[in-house]
Amino acid sequence: MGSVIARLGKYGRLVPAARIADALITVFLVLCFVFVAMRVLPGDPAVTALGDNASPEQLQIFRERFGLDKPLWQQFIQFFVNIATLDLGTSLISGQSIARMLATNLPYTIELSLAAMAIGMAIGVPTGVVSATRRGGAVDYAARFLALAGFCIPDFFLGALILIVFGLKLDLLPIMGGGTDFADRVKHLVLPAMTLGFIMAAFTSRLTRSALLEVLRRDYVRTARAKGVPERYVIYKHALRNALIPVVTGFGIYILTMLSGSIAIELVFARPGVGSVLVNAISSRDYPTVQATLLVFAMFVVGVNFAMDLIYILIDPRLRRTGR
Amino acid sequence: MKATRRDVIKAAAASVLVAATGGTAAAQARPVRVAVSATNVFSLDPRRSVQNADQFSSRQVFDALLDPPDGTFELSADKVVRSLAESWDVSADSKTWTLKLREGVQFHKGFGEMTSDDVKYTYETMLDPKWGSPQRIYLSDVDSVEAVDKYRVRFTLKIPNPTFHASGLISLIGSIVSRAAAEKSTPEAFARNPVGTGAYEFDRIDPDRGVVLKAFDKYHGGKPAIEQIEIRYMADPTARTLAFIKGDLDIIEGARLPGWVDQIKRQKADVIIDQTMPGSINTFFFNMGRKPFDDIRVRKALRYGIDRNILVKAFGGMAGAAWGINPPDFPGGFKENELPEELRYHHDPRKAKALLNEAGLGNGFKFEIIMTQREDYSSIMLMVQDMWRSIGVDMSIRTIDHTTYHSEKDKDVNAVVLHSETFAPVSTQIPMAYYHSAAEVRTDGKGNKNYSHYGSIGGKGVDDLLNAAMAEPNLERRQNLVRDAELKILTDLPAFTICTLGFVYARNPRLQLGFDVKAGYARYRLAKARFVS
Repeated sequence: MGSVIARLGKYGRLVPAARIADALITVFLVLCFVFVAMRVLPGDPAVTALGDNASPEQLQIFRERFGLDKPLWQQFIQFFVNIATLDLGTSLISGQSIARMLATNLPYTIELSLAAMAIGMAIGVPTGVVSATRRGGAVDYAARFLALAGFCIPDFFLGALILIVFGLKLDLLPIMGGGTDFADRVKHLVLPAMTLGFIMAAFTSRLTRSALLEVLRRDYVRTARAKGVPERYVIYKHALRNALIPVVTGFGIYILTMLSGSIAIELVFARPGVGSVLVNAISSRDYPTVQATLLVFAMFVVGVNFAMDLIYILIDPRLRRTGR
Repeated sequence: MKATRRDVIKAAAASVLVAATGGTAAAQARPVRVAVSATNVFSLDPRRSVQNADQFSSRQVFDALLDPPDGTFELSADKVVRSLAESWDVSADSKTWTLKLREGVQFHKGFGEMTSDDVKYTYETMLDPKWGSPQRIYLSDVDSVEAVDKYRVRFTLKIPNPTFHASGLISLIGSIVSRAAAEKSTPEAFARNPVGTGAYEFDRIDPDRGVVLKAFDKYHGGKPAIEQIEIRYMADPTARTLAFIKGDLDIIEGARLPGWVDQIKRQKADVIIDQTMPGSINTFFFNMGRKPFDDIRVRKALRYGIDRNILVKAFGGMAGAAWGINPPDFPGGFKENELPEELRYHHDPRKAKALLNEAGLGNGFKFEIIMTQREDYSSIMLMVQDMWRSIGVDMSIRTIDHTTYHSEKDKDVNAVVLHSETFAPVSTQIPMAYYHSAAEVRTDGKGNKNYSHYGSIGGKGVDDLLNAAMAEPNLERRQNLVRDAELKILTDLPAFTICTLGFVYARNPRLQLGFDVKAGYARYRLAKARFVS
């Protein structure tokens, strides 16, 4: 994506069109890959839907009904025709509308991702700043240790640990489900969001620390200090803003990692969400549901990248001037 | 009189206490919260049900024509419970079954009285191959279903079946759906909004609470005490177990893993463990089309190499030993002392090694199989792998997901197959499904579950015995024919029942079911359940 935009960048007005074209190509390639991968995998949705006792005749009727008996190229064309007409189809297994299934589950995944991001940023950036500005001190070592722990502990394990401590032993918060009304949903969100947020904070903290240390060595920072600008001002006004550019890049990449993390967390906390829908669909070879769910994921990824591009422009005035 | 600060505190404490306890009525109104091992609802329509987890809901929403008494798997004609069918008549040749239905039974959601037309519709949809009912296989002997009058239904069978009440009229197969409700919607919509005559009616599928059911006011057996049931879909056994220990759930489906029962008892000493024995029948097949499994000495050596006691002990009461092809608690099933000594196959590694030596495999041999990751299968297979290693046989296991395993093993890819399935206690079902040549597995996946190729390779005479059993209208003679076939199968050893594995649930001790769970399918009814203090 970056290379296309870079080439077209000097034609400022074309940039949005190029980005959209880039996004569409990316989504198309992802869908092609998913389409092929699902059909290459062994396993039969007809057997899953009708059970182990279904007769060959019943299995054949099922395949004909859902077009699974047609040649792959015909299924491929039909798949893209459906997407072009915004028809996500129905699940092969449950017969439920996939659009409705995603609409029901997506809010839970979005609220978890947003909450985790908020926690990750709220903890990660200040910790990274403190760690960089007090390099070599006890606070720095403690922050680095926690960051390392956040990197090393698998999300599902951390989730189970947090669940046992805060949910079971201390009995502070609910440990399963997504909640009903607003207050209940917030309560149900805390532990899963803490899990993902902690891992994200570890990542953000390390990134902020290293970026800030790099910036703090620059001449303009030295100049600002020589001019007598207060240290807090130097760090937060001059250094941090520049240090945030790599943080935002890393943040964009991490959001994608977090999506896969949310799948494990949804299972550990028995939360509804798109991750559970995807896992279930893959294990039952529910092709249309897998394809539709990954379409949503792909669009989310493209959307995040797009948002990151915009944030760069906001953070870095040079990008505004060159249009790149 | 002026209230003191102490009076105010006392009054506040009293109101908090009242609010917290909520009185007896509020406690009884609390829903039963169940968690089953699955990620999503497939189908709540019993005609299309393939997932155990869905069947927990279906059992509450639907009543069957006949049922075993709650908590048992007792299906003899004198003990089976007349649920929607009040009585029945069987012709002398066991081919015509006429049922008299209970009058005045109402369907949920105002769909009116259940009549013979609903029964005829339910069965005809299951029999129609285009309709895709997985229950059709159990009704292969049904020729026609006829509504004689409003409350009388006649089943005509193609072959005599003295146990048709147990194979074709019970549980999910005998669950009657409302024709009016089913025809008003699509099959897919009905599967997510079912209408039956059970103690609980379907309310909704909630993304958070799972399947929500509410007590049916007009239930013919009387309105249940508990107003609501929530059946959550939680695939992760750790998440289910922890939520149960915390008290958020009242019933959870257990993990069929060695040590699970002990673990939960350590965490929650007063837990009630419900086990529906015999549960699934786990059968080990040797592919007689592959070397060296075509050699009876090798098959026997491998059988002698397995210690069934270790398997049974490891599962901590969940597993049961099997001696014949049918489990010992099935009608006509062999008990240990009923078998000749040489067909009991007690663990004997020395004998196993001698047999391998005799077959020219004194240095052992290696082979690879695919195996599902599902915990019950993989636990059994890992234990067997270890036992066989001690007699010099090296079985390497390539683990794959459960869906793939089912589709691949049905293409005859494995030299040794483990298959787990639940059967009603009807003596002909297991031998016909696994040992008749008509059920032979095929490489194109269009065969059935005779993974040994028995009957096509070896097994002369067994098909005849099983055919004779299927044609025999007299129950006792039929069971004797099956036992004769079993003895021949045990001698040839194309496969063997390695153990039974019960379905296990952990239950809140405050929740009384109204019966003890001893046997049955992987689901039980909550119509008589109530919370006690």
